[in-house]
Amino acid sequence: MACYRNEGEVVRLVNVTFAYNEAPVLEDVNLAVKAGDFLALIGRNGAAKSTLLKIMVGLLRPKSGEVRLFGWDIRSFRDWDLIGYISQNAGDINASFPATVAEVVASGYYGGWRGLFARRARKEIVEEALELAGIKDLAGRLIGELSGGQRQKVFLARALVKKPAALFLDEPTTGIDAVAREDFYRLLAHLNRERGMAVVIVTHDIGAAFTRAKKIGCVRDRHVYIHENINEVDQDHIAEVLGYRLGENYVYF
Amino acid sequence: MSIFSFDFMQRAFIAGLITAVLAATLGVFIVLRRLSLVGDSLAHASLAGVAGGMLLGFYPFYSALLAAAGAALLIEFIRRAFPRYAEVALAVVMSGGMALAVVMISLKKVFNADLFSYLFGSLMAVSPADVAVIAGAGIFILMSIAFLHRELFAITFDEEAARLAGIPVTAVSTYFTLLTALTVALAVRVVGTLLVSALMVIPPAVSLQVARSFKATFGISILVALFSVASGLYASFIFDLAPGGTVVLIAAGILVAVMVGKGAIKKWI
Repeated sequence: MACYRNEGEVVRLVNVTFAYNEAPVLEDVNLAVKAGDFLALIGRNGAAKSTLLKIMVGLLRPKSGEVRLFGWDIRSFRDWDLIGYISQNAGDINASFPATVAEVVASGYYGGWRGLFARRARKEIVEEALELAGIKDLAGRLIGELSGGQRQKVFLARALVKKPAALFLDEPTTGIDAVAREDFYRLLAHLNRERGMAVVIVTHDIGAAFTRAKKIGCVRDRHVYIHENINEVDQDHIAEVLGYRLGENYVYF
Repeated sequence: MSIFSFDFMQRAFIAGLITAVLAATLGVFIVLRRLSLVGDSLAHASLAGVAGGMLLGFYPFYSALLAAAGAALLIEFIRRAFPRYAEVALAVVMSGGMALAVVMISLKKVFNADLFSYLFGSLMAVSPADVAVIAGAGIFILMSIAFLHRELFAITFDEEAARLAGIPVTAVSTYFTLLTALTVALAVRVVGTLLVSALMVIPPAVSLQVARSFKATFGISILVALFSVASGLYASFIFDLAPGGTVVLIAAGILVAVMVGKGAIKKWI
């Protein structure tokens, strides 16, 4: 098991500011995600939720401030096995990509120069990830033949194959039906509860966020407002403040 | 009398079959990364290398290798400067390479049979030294791909996720583009500058029509390329045709046949 620099802390952002072409989209953001947390980041389109998630995992570098991942400064973080990530574009894969589900899941196992020598993902490791995501029966199917909901589970299995300590998901349920969405969130809650995996998810599903998450982060006007105890927050008030209207990008379960 | 009783045919076949395997293998990644024009751009740059070699008195095959490698690095550099417009890099290198080649050709007025052989490929032109270079470089390229194919798969499928899995995406991508440049320069000797990218794109395109896994995609792509090159070189010898054009026409014929056949089967079912 990997050694945490700062045990128990997954991500910490200190006074983080980020700008696209000089126009700041996030200012003075401070937040911490601890082991076992389930943080849902909500906010309108363009509020910089995805930007925030990408800063957390090092895909974007902030203009100023400090980002720490598992206690390490993000610039010197190397233990990529600790995190699993599903990007917003994952669902847009080329439908004719000639790869089986098992091949896609195995690809999550390779990484880093160490990965060049670690070589083949053992069959049982891939099978375990497929089973955990509940898609063992799809192993031999082509990725392009699957439904949106099934594909998201494949990407989840790919993220799980290295047994990460934290999952980062960027609108993973966009474009999939309500039943598949509910199923997906249930799976995330299971991983969080039973396996102690920290989950940080960017979503528009406010209903699901309030049902499954433990903390809510509202991204609005370049700032992030973290509500540590979800039971003390009024869902309708949050939705109203963020400018959501019922029925628009706003799903209850 | 067998066509293999001629030394030059033996050399053409050995060089042709090695380049077929290389082009078909790298081509799978190139097509899936939607960089089908990379081969064309590098081939045009290698033509500038050929012309430069002829102008300055170097062996054109080696100067083509150098020019293609330089062009590969330039493509990666421009791609990083215009991350959302990858085709800008390809267009710049393709037109720049061609412009450089034309200017150099006009400087020395070297438009002769030798240059013609680099444009369209030639059976007679493959020397024993060429075969040795193609075989040596070919083994190196295939070993590199065998070593990196899992990382290349991850990058091709989902670059962002690959980066977050800790794969050194920029380094692996740059290295892959250099391998592509090397393959293009090798293939130019047999199929010619103008047709080399077809050998990289058509076999994988056939494979994508029928393959049921990533592993199978490689196998089918390589088989199509080997068949096209072998039958193309044979036909070009028998009927005295340009080898590059014959090889590519056979590969294109296979693609059309597979597409039509697949459509017919779908209709039937």
